[in-house]
Amino acid sequence: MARILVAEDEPHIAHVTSLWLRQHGHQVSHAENGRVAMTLLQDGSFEVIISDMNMPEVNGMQLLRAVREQFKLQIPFILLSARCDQDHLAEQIVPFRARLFAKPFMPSRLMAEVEQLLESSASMR
Amino acid sequence: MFVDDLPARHGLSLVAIFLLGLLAVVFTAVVETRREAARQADVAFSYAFRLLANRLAEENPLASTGDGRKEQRLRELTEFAASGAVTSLRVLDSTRRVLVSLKPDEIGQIAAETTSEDRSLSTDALLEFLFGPRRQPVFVMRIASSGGSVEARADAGEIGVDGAYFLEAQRSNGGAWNDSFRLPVTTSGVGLVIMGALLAVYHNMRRQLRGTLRVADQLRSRKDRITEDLSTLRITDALDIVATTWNQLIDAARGWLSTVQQTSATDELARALQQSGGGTLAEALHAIPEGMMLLTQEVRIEYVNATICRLFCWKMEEARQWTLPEARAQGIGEAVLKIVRESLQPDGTYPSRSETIELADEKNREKSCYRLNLFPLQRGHAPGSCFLFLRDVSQQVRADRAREDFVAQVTHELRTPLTNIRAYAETLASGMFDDPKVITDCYNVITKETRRLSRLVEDILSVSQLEVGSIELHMDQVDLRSLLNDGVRDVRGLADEKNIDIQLALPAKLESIRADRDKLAVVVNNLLGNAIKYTPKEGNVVVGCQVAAQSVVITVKDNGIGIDPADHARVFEKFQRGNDPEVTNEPGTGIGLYTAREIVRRHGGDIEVISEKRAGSTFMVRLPLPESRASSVTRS
Repeated sequence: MARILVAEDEPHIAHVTSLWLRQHGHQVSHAENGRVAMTLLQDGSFEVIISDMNMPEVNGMQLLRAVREQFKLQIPFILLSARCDQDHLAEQIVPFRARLFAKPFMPSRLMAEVEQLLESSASMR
Repeated sequence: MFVDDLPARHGLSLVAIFLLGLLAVVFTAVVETRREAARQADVAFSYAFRLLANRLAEENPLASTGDGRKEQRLRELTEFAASGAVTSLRVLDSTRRVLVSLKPDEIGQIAAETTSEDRSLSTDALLEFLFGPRRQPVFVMRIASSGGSVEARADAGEIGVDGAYFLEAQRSNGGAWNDSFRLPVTTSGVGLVIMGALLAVYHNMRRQLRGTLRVADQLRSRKDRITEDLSTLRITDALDIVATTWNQLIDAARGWLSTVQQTSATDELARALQQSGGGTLAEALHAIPEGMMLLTQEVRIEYVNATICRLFCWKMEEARQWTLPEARAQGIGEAVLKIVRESLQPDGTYPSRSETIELADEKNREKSCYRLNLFPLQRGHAPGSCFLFLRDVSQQVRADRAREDFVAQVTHELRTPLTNIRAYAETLASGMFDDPKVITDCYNVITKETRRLSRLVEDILSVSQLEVGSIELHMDQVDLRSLLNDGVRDVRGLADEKNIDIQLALPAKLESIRADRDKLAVVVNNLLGNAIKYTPKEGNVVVGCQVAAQSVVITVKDNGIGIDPADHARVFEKFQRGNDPEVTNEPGTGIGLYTAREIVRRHGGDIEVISEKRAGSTFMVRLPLPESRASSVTRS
């Protein structure tokens, strides 16, 4: 079981993602935008962050940057994006070691990605 | 001597080795020559075929329109083929025996098979059709260029066959034209065992092909990314290269032609201006929206029109006293003068120059964009003379950017409901979730998101219809009370999610009007959707309707974030959205209000907004009453 932070402003996507994560035995905290996610990061620790790219106030890219630079966390980060410039975004996130997941996505594949990332980070420890 | 000491048999062996070596050399030369001939034939064939393709393109039987619209192109091709203008497309051999004959519908088939976005006829498709595996070619060829017949011979595999092929397109309206692109390689391998003869043929062939190869080299040199040797490429590869470079050449030529024509025109204009000495022509040019400035000898400002003076904050009489180094200006003027100064070459001449200048315009909160064109004057003008044209292209640039934003936004908007539908469908299909509430949620979300997707697609379709003017109104009696009730019911769910109180404030008596109910429903839906979207939680939205003397006015009032008065006109423009983060953070495509306004205008009415930042918005839709009704309302 892992503690996972889901930052997503679209309630249905947040709901279905949390549903699957809980079904896989994980503990999920939901933040409706990047700013709330940063507050949750201050209060608790997480093993994986799944964040949408386009969110009000603090977007996914800003959250990723804060996680790496401000919080100094090296935990796996999955960025979900429905933008049409995916290639450009993929280049942007390279220095921040994050995975890009294009919307629309299959929850089963997202779960597989989460499990793989958790295994990788466990083996590194 | 050492050789004299050798036994006789050794001498014989030496002779045998020498002869064998000679034979090997001859054999190698034959093989190499044949290979080279085959390669050259490929190149020559490619080039010649391309010439034919371009000829066809110029004649337009099978040509593209050159603007990339494939469907349009294919339709034109098929229609042309079916129109009877082309009776056949045939491949003949040198004895005029028909090898391949294409009927019009087969030409259409080639067109339909065309997948290339290349602006010319798809040579790949044609080549494949004519000489593909189904039609077992031929192949050794001979080129006859238009400058004369080429009789070089070389073996490319089919020894003893003497086939010269060319293509002929026959048209019904003016006889046949049969450009014969006969490729210069025919067979003559038989008997070529003598070294001298072989070399003579080889040289002859090379000489004959030199012209073609030179053209190919020139073409290749214009295409930076080609590094391979053209002569080692296969026909299809070479075709691509030749096709691309050919098109580049054509484009470049068009550019040069345009420049030359423009230069001639500006030369004439400059001369006319100088001769008119501030007469009618100069007066007329003051009125045009493009800025114009003429620099002549010693880079003196000979002429500026009123637009330049306005943009540069110059007084015309003063400006015409200055030389370029003396001239000073602010804003766009400063940027333009800098470019003009930088363009001046050490030899005192100007090159042609064209570029877009972008300037931050604080007053309008938008960037202003100007297109600058600099043309050197040539015939009969002093060195350093040039004409400068300046055009405000801000609207065009803004429209292009808005369109790009729209595409990005629509992509995002389409993907969000798709993501939900896909994710919830997989949740249902996975069988992992048996909680009845989860299953019900899944069905509800899929239904709701499908509706959302459908609305978005309808919005986009509406814009397309409005764009091409194909939108039709199906007029009928519309009960306004029912229309507004339905509109409110449709968005009630959205309002509830944000705890927004949505009220209907309608007069006791509300008659029906003549309108297209479905289209008006789109207007009401768009206005209500916006009101809910841009009103914070716990806000209010009130829908009202008043019947005035000549019109009926539907109002949608909210206490949301409001719209800056400077943006009032812009919010109804296509693809435009406010720049405020409160707006951009919300999903939207910038087509809702545009669609609403266009629909209302097609009903003979109009739409307006009253709003202040942070003070809510009221959108008013005014629809005209029929004259008889209007007069009865007035009387009453």
